[in-house]
Amino acid sequence: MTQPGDVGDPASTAIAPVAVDRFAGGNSTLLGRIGPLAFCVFWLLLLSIPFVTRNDYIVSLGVSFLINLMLIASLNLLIGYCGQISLGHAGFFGLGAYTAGIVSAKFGINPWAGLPASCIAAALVAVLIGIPVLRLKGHYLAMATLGFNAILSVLFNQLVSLTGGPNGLLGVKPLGFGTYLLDTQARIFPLLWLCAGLVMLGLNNLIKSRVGRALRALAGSELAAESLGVNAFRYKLIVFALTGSIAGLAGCLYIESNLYASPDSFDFSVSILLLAMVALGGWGRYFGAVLGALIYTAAPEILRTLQDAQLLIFGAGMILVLQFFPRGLAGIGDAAVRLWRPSRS
Amino acid sequence: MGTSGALLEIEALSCRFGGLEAVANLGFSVRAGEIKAIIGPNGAGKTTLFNMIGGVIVPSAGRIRLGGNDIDRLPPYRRAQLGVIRTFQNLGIFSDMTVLENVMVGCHLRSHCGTLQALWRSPRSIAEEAVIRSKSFHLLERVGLVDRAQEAAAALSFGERKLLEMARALAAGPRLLMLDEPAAGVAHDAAVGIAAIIRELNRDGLTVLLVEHNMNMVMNISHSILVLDHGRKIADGTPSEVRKDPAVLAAYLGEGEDA
Repeated sequence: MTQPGDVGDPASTAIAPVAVDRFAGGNSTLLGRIGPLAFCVFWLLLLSIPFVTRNDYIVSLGVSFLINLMLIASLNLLIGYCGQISLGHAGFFGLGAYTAGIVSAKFGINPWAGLPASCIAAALVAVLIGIPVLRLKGHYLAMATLGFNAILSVLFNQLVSLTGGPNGLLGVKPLGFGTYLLDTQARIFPLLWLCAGLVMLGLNNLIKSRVGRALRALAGSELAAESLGVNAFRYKLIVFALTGSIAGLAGCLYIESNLYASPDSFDFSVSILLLAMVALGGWGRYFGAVLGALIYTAAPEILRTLQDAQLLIFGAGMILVLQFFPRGLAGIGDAAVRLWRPSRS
Repeated sequence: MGTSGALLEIEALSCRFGGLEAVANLGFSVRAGEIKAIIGPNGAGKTTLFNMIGGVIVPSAGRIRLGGNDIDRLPPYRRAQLGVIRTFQNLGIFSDMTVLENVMVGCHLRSHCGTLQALWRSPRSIAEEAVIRSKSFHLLERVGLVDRAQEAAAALSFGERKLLEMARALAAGPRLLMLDEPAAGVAHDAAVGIAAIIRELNRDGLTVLLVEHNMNMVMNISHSILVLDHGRKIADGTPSEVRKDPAVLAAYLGEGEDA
């Protein structure tokens, strides 16, 4: 054990951070220990997908996974860490997709402009919506964001001249470097991989920062957080805008991967499924988002042979997991560790 | 010291909930550097008063001044920024976080790195994080919880949580520390320890305003005591003055309905 006296002397501030580091190693959850390493290995292996296989189906699963991961990880920041329930995430996803798609298909602007445009558009809308809506709490916030998503769905369907309406948006130009176009999913995969990696890295940094602690604090008790000087509303708005812009980025990459988008991909039922995946993976658990995204990507494929029964199996499985592991799949790892080594320290 | 030494001034403060006057036309001040206790029977309006000073409840009338500036229109986080830091009667600790993280949240006001700095883990944010950590350890040491730093805050006993909340409040660098029943529900020994910590902090220059039912503690550590009953001030003076006050005795023994 560390001697408390090491850090007790205010005069020893120069050495204090070093002494403190010995306390810092106490991350006792399974995922907390092997998680980061395993995740890095997994992430590197992921990059190899388009290079080792010519199977378009597998590459398309990889593309879906990366996009789902960005969506679920950002939603997890908003819901799991910051405690603000949103049922409008697919709306921001669609906003990003259509912004990027319209920029290249309708205005004929360089498709690279779609990347910042979709992030900024989603963030701006998030701020405009967030200012009134984030004053609501719990179910009321969920209802308001659901309504927002429903309105966007109507716009995606009705603004036919811009979005192509229910038939979808065609004519999206692929991203590219000079004559090398990222016009297949295998070719755009490394870009997605890079973007999703940066998103995951940024979220990891944020969660462990002063800002991340403030978010978790206000999720625990807004009153107590405010009494320590945390401007809760401001932070909620920042996170809403940030997570909205990540969903916007995912939307841009989605439409550039498929060179097509139709409104039903951004319906509020998608928002509900994303929320369910956050819960299934584990609220406020960093790697919960990875598990949630894996399941969201794989489950429909695995259960496809069951046809109509797939929703039933999927739903029942979700209920079972949440019934026995309310902290989600990421919580199972913790439970396993507790069984494995009942008496640590 | 006179009024020039007043850190907190309360003037004609009232709070009505429907027909109930929880706090009525209350005036008092807290001098810089003193420990002031607020006592009174249950329902006297002590916590309501705390909530008004902290900004959680909007007063129906009256003024609250900190260091000469009106703060009664400011939201809670702004008051905290000005140095009014409180603990809660029913514990406001963040139970999903570790003991250390709780105190680190307390350092929020004394650190500055924003979202963008955090996202790319700028060198400045890394340096700041190290300072926050070591500060938090020092504070945990001060309240005797340093060995439990990495445990979940939920694993602490009731008394330990009270100490944790105090350490967290100190991390925010208060000018006025408001403690809502710091020793309630705490074992005798722990209460003595808490009293000793409060006195030590005060000796270092901290102004403390506390609500407490433990009379032993109140009489021992306070420089002055404000006594409330049914939302009204019935006495305000040194412990020995208050102890002899007939109105206080009446309120505590339940005699002579005066209001």
